[in-house]
Amino acid sequence: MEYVSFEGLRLDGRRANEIRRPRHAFAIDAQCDGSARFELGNTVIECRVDGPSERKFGGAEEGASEACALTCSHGRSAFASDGVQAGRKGDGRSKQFESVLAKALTSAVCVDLMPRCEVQVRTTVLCDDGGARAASACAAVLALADAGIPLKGIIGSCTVGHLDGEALIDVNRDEERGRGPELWTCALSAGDVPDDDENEDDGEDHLMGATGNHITVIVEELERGKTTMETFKSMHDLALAGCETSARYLRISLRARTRALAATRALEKF
Amino acid sequence: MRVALGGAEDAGPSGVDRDRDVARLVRSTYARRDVACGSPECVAHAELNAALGVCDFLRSREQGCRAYVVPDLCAFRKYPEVFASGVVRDVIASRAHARRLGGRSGGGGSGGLPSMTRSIKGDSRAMGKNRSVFVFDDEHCVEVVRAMRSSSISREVACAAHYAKKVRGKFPIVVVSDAQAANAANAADDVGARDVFPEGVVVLSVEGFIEQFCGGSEGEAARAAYEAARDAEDEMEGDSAVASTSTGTNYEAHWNERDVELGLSEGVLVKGVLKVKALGVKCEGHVDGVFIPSKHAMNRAMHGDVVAVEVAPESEWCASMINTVLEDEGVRESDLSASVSSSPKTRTGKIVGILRREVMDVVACLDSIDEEEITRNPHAKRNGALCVPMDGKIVKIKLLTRRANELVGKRFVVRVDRWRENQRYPNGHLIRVLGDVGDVDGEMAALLARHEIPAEPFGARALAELPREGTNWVVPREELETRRDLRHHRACSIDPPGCTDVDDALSVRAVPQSERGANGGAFEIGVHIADVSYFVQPGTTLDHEAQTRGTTVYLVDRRLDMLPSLLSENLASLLEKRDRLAMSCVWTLDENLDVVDVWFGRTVIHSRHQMTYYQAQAIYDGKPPPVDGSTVFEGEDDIAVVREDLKTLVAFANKTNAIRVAHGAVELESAELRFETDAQTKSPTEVIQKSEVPMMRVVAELMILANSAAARATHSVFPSCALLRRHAPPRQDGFAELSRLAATKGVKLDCSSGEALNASLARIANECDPEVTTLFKGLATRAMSEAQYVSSGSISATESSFGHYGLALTYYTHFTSPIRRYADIVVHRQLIAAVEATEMEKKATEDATRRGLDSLAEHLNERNRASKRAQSRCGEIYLLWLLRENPMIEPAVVHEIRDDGLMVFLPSFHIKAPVRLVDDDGNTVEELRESDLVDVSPGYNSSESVTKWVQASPVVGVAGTRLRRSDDVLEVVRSSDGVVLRSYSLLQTVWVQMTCKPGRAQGPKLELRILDVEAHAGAREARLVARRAAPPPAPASLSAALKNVIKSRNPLAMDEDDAGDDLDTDENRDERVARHLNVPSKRLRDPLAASLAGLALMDDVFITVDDSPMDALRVVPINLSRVSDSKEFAARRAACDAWARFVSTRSAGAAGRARSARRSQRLEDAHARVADVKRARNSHLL
Repeated sequence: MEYVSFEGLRLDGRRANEIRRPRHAFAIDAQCDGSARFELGNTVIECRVDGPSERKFGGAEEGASEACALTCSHGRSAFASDGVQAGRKGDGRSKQFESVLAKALTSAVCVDLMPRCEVQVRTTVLCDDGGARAASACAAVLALADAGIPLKGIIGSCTVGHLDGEALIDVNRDEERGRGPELWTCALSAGDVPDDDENEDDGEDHLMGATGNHITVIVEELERGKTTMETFKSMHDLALAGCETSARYLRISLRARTRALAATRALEKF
Repeated sequence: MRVALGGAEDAGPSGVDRDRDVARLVRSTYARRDVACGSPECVAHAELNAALGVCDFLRSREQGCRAYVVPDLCAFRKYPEVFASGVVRDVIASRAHARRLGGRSGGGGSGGLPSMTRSIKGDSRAMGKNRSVFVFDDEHCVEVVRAMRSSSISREVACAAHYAKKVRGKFPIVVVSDAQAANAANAADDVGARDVFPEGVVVLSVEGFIEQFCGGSEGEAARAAYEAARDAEDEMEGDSAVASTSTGTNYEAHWNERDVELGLSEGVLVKGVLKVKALGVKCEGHVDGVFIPSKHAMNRAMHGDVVAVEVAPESEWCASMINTVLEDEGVRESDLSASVSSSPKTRTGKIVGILRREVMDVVACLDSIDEEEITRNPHAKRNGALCVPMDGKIVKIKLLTRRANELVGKRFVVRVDRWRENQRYPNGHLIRVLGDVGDVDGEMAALLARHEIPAEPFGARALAELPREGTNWVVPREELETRRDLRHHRACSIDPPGCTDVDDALSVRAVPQSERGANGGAFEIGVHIADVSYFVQPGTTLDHEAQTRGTTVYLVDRRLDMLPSLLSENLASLLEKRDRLAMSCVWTLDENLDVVDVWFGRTVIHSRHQMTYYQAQAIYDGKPPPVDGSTVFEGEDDIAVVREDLKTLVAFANKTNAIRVAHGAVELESAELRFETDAQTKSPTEVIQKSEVPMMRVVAELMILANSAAARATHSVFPSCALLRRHAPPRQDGFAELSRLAATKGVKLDCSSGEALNASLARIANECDPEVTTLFKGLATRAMSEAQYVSSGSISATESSFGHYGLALTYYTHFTSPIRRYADIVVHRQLIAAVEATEMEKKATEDATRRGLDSLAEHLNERNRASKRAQSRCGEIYLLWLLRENPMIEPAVVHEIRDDGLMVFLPSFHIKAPVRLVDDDGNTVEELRESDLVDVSPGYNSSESVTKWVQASPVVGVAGTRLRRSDDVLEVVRSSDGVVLRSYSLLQTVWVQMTCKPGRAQGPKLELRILDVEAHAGAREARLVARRAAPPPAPASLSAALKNVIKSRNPLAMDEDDAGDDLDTDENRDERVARHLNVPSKRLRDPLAASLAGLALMDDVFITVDDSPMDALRVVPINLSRVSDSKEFAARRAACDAWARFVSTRSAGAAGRARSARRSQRLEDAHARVADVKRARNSHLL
């Protein structure tokens, strides 16, 4: 199967460095403290956040960390993907995903501000068209922000695959089936979009320059193909760029959300 | 709800219940504006098209385009010969169609479009053949997607409308579709509304299209292809009508595509390439070790196809029946009874699917029975004839044509179309006629067609890209300014006589004392390579043509150039006394000729002399140069200067060669037939044996050095996309036959490493006849794997190193012949980028090249193989042509014993050929006696005193005798009493008479008959004497050459024994080595020691191992007369020990490298001792 055409177009018409169209919605579930839906093309993720609330267990023991604990749980709807179940709740793969996501999010949350608290993050894959892990991380960031959890920065996340000798960002389901090496990356972007919204166009340069001390979490599934150092390097470079792009999207959407909220409260300028 | 749940649970990997599941698939697609259209008429996408290199798929009106053609799926399916084979130009295929056609299994289809889609991806097999079809990515083109969504027009029409906007009415866009044309006609009848189609789009049926747009000579081919395909269609309908009652062969249906895929993934089926061993009554083949016993099991697959095989249960396994010399020709029925199966049973299977058809175009001639019938009755109406392919491994083809009577006695190209279950032979249609059978021009055309070697002249567009000045071109000023000027270096080229495409020149410059830098460079040796990449810019038509050709093909009577002759013979060629652009590799050497620095870059050079090998050798030897070239020497001084240069070059080359040999470089040989041809008739008059002078090896060595240096340089900068040449270590089983043969001579062949193999071959050379030695070297060459181009980033290359086994180099590539090899041009570009580009540019180059390089490497490998095969077959044709008039008598070595004869090896031509010892009735054939031969010498110009013979009596067997075969002896036995009349054993030297057996279908063949042992002893003796009298000058032994160098540099050194070096027997060598190394001679039995001994035999050479990253081996001359010095002995032994350890760790691979740390300590000790000795020696000399 040919994944990248002669012209450099992928199966769904994107180029190697193009991410699927992202969409988002805030406060989809009034029952919890914060929630968000994030979509990447046909991949749809919902995330619910509870907290910060008093730590129910684990906090009482002697010597336990004072800081806020962030736990993640990951679920999939039965109809998330066609045919084969990619992973059920509680299997090794989703366990690993939960712990990695918790680690990544903890790095972005100001845990010291909420001592002896806990935050629960629940992600659900409603539809999986590839890249569910990256989309879940993005959804979690939006939901955390919606819940009003203080964040140090925005975590951007993306997956990168390698097929037909080329690193491809944001692989979809068809491309995931190509069984190439895959890389899931979360990176904390400390940069900020400029305050005045007029020059959003040149925000990119600003952003790229502002990546200071980012924290990166990488999950590799490289054993699928023979991955050379060069392959990995090209994938990694693309992944970091991709994280930056998705972080920018999240930041802009959060800003728009805040502005909308402010408008409803008749605040003049936020 | 229950059903849905149940379905989900059932969906196991069994796949049986899968059909009941319905999975809803949702795919998102991104439509975009920047989709390449490949049309030179399009302004908006011009840049994009250029970047992708798709500018020349479609033409503009200026280039003679009359219409763009958009066939629908049905037209492609029915007439791939018309639309997908380059007959009709300017064809646009929708990507959706291309994918649907490409996904089809090759089983019954003609596979027209798969090749096309591959051509656009840059696949090697079809590259360049089909640059007439452009696959347009309509699925992602926003205009097409919108048009199809908003109105109910077909995909083809939407594409056409998109293109119509681009060409702005200059010419129509024709949608070829039978169904839509019919609809349109109906609609026109009804309403009279023709405007259902967008402006500029015309919808025609296939027939209508052929009528309207395929006139003139260009359209002739299209019309013919259409008619053939239509006839085939009719025929097939006729066939299917009678299919139920057909009594012909009924093959099993192929499995459908999905089952085959499933079977492969579950391991039920085996995938592999079918290798046909024999066709005919007995039909056998192999797929990846699985035996295919019959035609029925082969199930319509052809030689070379990629197939899926189902392995039968063990009870049904059977053994190969064929072990006769005639396996190439198909076996006669009488042989079936004679050949009793002797081989063990093997895995047996049958073919259930064809994944890819390899054979598409086949060179063939009419079947003799059909031909007779046609000549008897030329005007009878018939719509086909059976034809026989030239390649004996391909089945006969039913040619559908109404012009069969024009094909009598011709060779032509047939394209295989389809092969249905009930057909005995596949259908095919005529592509083109090549020439007469048996005529040399016809045979040569057939040869070129068979190996797919492009022989047509260069296109006008390619020629237009050459420099406008033509032959008056001079180096432009800006090039003079930007390049390093090496015109003051004395550069000379050394080539074979008559060579016009001078790729390389060599230069030597003694650096004046004042200019010497800190590194002590005393000499600058330059290898200057023609800078073809300056003239051939990437992306141009010229570049594409050169890439398609891949290499220049040298045939006996012609040369098929890779580049137009203006470039290859003039502008790029490094002609003497002219300024030329070059890509140079300059080594700086110190006094000891050790390399201290390498420089690569673009230069301007000025060649002083264009010498031939023989001139250079004569000058080096101190003789007056023969006048066989064009160059003129101005007096003795000029020659003396050149001689000094040559001396340095020879010394340097010998030194590096010694290092390579010590690392295990294997020197193997293969023969190249050369012919003296008659100027007028072009018929060959004599076979010329290649006469080798040492200078050839010297030049070759310097080229090898330049190549490896270039490879190292490009690889260090572009580790993931350097084009390298890799020669994998041989597989041990390849040597099994060789070892077995050697065992019959009592020699144990050790092939574990290059060093060991060298030593074993040397032993054989010592013990056996020269003929046998040649056989062994030839067989060893065949057993080696083939060197190949690889991209260093490709996955396949990571499996082991990129090293070149035969040359014993870690990195190797082709860099020195850009005029005749495309790979060299690629390497030049990479090298220029490596040495000149900035980091950013390097990254860009790397990214740009990585994608295409794998397929490019594969394409070049394929072209290389094809040209090699064509060259050797061409030599054979000429040899046979010569034999037709003058049969020859030659010695031969028996190297395999078969049931009905022998396989012999002719050392003088490096040809393996069968000798059949039974006739068709199973009686043995007599040896040729003197009385059977007729002397035809009168008209023959006999400079040698050998009589030429022609065969007088036909090959008739003697009744009452039969053959008896044992493992390594074939005996002729009288049936009545079992008395052995004659016997032939393995490796026995026999004398054979070579004649040419005319063959119709497969071309002429070599026929051999063994001469009576007693007969013609005198003639053979004379022949031997004649041969011995003028032996080809032996290549100077390296040790001797090195000795000369050292002597000239160190006049104090005295030779103990300068003569008789080469005549030493093995024992003597061992002894001498033992004496010099002061080691117990038992150690020399070690396989490692052989190579060590080879080096140490250069008596006055001292070897030390330099632990530098280059793994360099240092060769230091020492004074032999002082060898008695005990200290020196100790040091010598220490150095040798170190060297031995070094070699052993090297061959031990990873484990050995892990020990390198410990080794280095020991090496240091050795070095210290060496230094001591050097000091001691110096004090002696002082």
